[in-house]
Amino acid sequence: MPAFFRAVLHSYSMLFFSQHRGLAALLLLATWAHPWAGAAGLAAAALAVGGARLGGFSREYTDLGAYSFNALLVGLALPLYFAPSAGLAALVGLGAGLALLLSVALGGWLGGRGLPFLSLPFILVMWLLLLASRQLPLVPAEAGGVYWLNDAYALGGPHLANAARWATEADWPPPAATYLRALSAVLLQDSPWAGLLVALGLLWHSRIAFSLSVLAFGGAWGLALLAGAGVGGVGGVGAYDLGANYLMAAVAVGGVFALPSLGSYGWSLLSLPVTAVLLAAAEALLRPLGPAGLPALSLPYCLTSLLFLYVLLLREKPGNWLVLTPLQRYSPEANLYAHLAGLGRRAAALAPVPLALPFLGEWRCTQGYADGGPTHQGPWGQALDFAITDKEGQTYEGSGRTLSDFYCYDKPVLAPADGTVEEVVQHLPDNAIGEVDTRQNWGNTVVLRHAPGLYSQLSHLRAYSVRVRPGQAVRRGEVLASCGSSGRSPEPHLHFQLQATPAIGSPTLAYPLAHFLASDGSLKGSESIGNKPDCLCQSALTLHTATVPRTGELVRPPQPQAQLSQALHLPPGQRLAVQLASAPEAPPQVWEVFTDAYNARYLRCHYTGAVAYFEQDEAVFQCTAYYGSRQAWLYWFYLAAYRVPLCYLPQPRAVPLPLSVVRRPWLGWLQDVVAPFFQFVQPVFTLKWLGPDAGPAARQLQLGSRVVVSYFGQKQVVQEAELTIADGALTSLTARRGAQQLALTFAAANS
Amino acid sequence: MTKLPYERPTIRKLTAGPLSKFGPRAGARPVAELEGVPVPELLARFGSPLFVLSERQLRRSYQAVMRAFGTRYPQVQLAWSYKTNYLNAVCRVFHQEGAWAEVVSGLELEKALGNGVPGAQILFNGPGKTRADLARAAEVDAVIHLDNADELHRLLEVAAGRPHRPRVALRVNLDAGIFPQWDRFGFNLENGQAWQALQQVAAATEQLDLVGLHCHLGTYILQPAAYGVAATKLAALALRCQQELSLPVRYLDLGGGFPSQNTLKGSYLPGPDAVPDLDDYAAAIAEALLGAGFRVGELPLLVLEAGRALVDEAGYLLGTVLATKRLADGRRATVLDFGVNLLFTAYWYDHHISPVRTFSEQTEPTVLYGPLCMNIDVVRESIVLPLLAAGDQVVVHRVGAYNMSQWQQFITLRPHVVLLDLQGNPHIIREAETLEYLQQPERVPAHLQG
Repeated sequence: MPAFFRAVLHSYSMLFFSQHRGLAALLLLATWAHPWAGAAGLAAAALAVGGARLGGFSREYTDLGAYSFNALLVGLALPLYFAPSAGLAALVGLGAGLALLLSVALGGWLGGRGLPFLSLPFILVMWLLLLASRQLPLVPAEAGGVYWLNDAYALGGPHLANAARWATEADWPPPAATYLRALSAVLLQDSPWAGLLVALGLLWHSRIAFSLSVLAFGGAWGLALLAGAGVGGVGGVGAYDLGANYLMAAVAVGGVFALPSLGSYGWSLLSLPVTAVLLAAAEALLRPLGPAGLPALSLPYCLTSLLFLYVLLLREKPGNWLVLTPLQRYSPEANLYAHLAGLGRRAAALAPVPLALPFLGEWRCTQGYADGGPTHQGPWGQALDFAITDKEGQTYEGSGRTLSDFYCYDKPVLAPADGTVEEVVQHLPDNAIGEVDTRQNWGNTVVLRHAPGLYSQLSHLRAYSVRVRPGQAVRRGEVLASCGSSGRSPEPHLHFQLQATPAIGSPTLAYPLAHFLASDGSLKGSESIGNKPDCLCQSALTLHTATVPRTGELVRPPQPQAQLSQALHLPPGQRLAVQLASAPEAPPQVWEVFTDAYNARYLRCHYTGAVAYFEQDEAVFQCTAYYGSRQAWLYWFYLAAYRVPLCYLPQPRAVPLPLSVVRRPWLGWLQDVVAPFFQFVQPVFTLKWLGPDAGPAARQLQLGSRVVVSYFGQKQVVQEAELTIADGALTSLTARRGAQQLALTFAAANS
Repeated sequence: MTKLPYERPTIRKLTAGPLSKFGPRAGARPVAELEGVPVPELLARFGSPLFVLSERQLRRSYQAVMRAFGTRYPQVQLAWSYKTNYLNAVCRVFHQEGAWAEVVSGLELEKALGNGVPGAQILFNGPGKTRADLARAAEVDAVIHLDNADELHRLLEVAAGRPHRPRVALRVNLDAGIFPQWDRFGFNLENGQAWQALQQVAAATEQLDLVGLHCHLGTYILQPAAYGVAATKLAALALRCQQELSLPVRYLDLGGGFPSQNTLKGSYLPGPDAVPDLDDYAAAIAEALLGAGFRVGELPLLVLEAGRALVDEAGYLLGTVLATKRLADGRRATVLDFGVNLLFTAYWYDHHISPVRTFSEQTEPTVLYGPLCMNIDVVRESIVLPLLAAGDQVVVHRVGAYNMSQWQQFITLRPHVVLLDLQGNPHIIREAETLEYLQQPERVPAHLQG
């Protein structure tokens, strides 16, 4: 479908913050319940999309329908106030253009604050046109809603009028009818049938959004009864054209801008009384003016949503109860599942300053972040201590009475990230074992500056072991000094902390390490595991991302496997020619790597148009999203290489996949409804190295992967695959899905 | 009160020279048990003499080497030097710990394959590779460390028509400032042989896949700085190779030669005091490689072919005194039930030998002889020991390296080798030889039978 029509269609689904084309089609259908409105809306949306493309505004927003849905609303609303005529057509064109301009302008103004413009342009345009039309009575005014039946009579005689009456005023149960009419009011319609289409579309698009809308309606209904206003009263949900405000505010607050959760549902329930007050206030302000008044339209919804979102943005300590959507995926489910799959956490690993462990080899974290440790207290709680231990958990060999008996003594200490040397102290003597220097608490210390407000401090270094000078630039991994035992250090160890200020001994700052390998380091020792060698603990190593070592953990920096890193290092512009192994003569599908406006990389299949987003740094290749057919070869690859640690780990920890891989609709929908509260369907991705680590000179590597969905104790294998890498390039993928088999070969494609 | 054991009288010359700075107590302290197992119990069960290996110490030594190097350089791989001790149980302990295999003959190659080492983790050194050896190594995808030009030409013939290019590394010898310079293995760096050979490999890149450079300085090297020099030179060669020949070098193999704490003959100080710490070697090598100018993320893997440093400490030889006598010159002589046939390293080291039971503080210098009827069979020229008597047991320390591969079946048969596992349970890992075993390959012609 050409991008233009796609964008017009997205203007419809965007009314519900969606890119779902099924929903869009149903909404489009629903708008034709009032044919003039349907036509005007479509025309306005098309004009706005065309204008946005011609005007050179953000292509991405245009394609999402973000610049055109306000024009659509204007187009839908104008026939309610003006009789069909050439003047109306001109007004629709004018309104669409104005809505586009306001959308772009408000988008630029509010976007900088992280806020959406919602339907504010629509409200402004409508008010402007309604006010202006009193001075310029070019177009005959008409209350469309009132004369709707007359129109029907004029068009189709009494039959059509009766049918239309039945359609709008049939004996629906009052709550259901009111709910559906409220939904249809989002499209400025008043028809339970149109509302039914909208409801079906919404359910199809998102179970979470649908359940939120029902919840909000129930809440508003209950609120109206409590207030004694009666459901039909002013400001109540019964006023169909205003009831939509409750629904939309609740969906926006609880499901779109915050990740759906118990907290967000509570937050969205809290929005109901606020919407009610705003509604009543808007009505009180605008309606008494009589004919000179203006309709409140969706103003209460916009104000409530913006208020509830903005205060969340201004929190100093966001906490875990109400998490704002980090990256809008235009579906509450997609947002939530990406978060549950840990894709949000990866963003932290790609923080501006990725932090590595400040040493090589395996060390034990002897004191972690303020978890009851003896010396990391209060403002200095977010610090880490490390020492080297042997398999028995000892930090020294021999008698342990001299510094050199300690494994970590004199071992190199590295820069954890690129930066400049801020401060160096190295004249303090190393203490004898068991003694501490409480006057010079930090001992010999190097402070590095990594970014404004981000400093790292490494302390208790060996006397006169520092190799860098203040002001010198250092790269990550460069040797700074040697581990020692100066300052408040009874035995050699390394103190590592991040801080916001350069002074030695500044209060600490919690900051995650980008990646590290860890094993629990429990001191089972060689005794209790019998003849099984301790070294097999290698398999218990897990790659941790964007987190901090805990006390007692054995940690080491990940060492990239050169071949694997090279094979999955997919720079923008790289093209892969993918072929069926069984048909090497057939023309290949070409996959090409692109970056989007946010510098996120994705593989795009030129043949199917499927897109797989991925992130890749020195330790992990991780797919983050997939858009396209599930039969596309790219989807097989997406499932086969969902998360590949780029170092040799015989069996990396299983990782959750987004729930979107679940293929059973009933199961998926059931999970969607309860997803904000708990997850019972769990798709899991596991990876396995087939064969040994042949080191950097390996001729060939093989990785096996499995995607399994488990629910109610059942396990269903979605896909099993093997990836082969040879000479630093991806060479083949073989995979099975049930009875389906696929064998692909890869080669570098010439552009 | 139990009766004290009888000790024979001894007469010693009173030396009123300067006081020894090592203090008065020079006598060996008794070692009554190994890993918690009483020595007399082991000897009673498995007979005397007896080789004992401690699995705990094998693993500790491996982990100590990895710790020393792995905390200083990001990518370190040990390749267990098979010739040092190729008893399968020993090899498998190291392979379990993660070691690759370094082999120097077709025999060792097969042993490594038999121990389950994947071909790609076998490094094939040695100056004497036959055509069959090369073919086998290419077949199992082992990395062939080229020693000389003839071998290179032979390998090119072997490589022809194979589905994969054999992977090779170049053996380089160089002047690292130590004497004598070992220049017999590989191609010399300073006279340009090595570069010439690399150019030949680069020209034959269709047939061969160069993956590494190798250098073995020698054995029992006591100067860590020499490794620093070697690492610097090898890294410079690797960089030149990368830049001028477009051959990326994936690993640098600095060979072995790391000492154990044995005392070399002629050394003034005992081994534990004279031998540098392993950390010094690691620091010298890591420093040189990190400063060599490799780009970030392109540091080559550091391979070490440690042998002695991994296994020597874990080996013990237990034996029994057969007789004592006084020699014509007045020296005391003690005859043991093992000699240089089992303790080959007695040619190189003044082995540390402990009595098993507790003695009085009286000691006397003695010569230790083995049971062979050969003049060369001297275990120690002179050692100060308590007043041993026939039937007393002794423990020889640090015998894990070379003895169990270089020992001789000469005059006597070779005894059991026992491995004490992590719980101290003994496992026979090599049965004592028998007459049948010895004679099994022998054939007696018909005319000599009957």
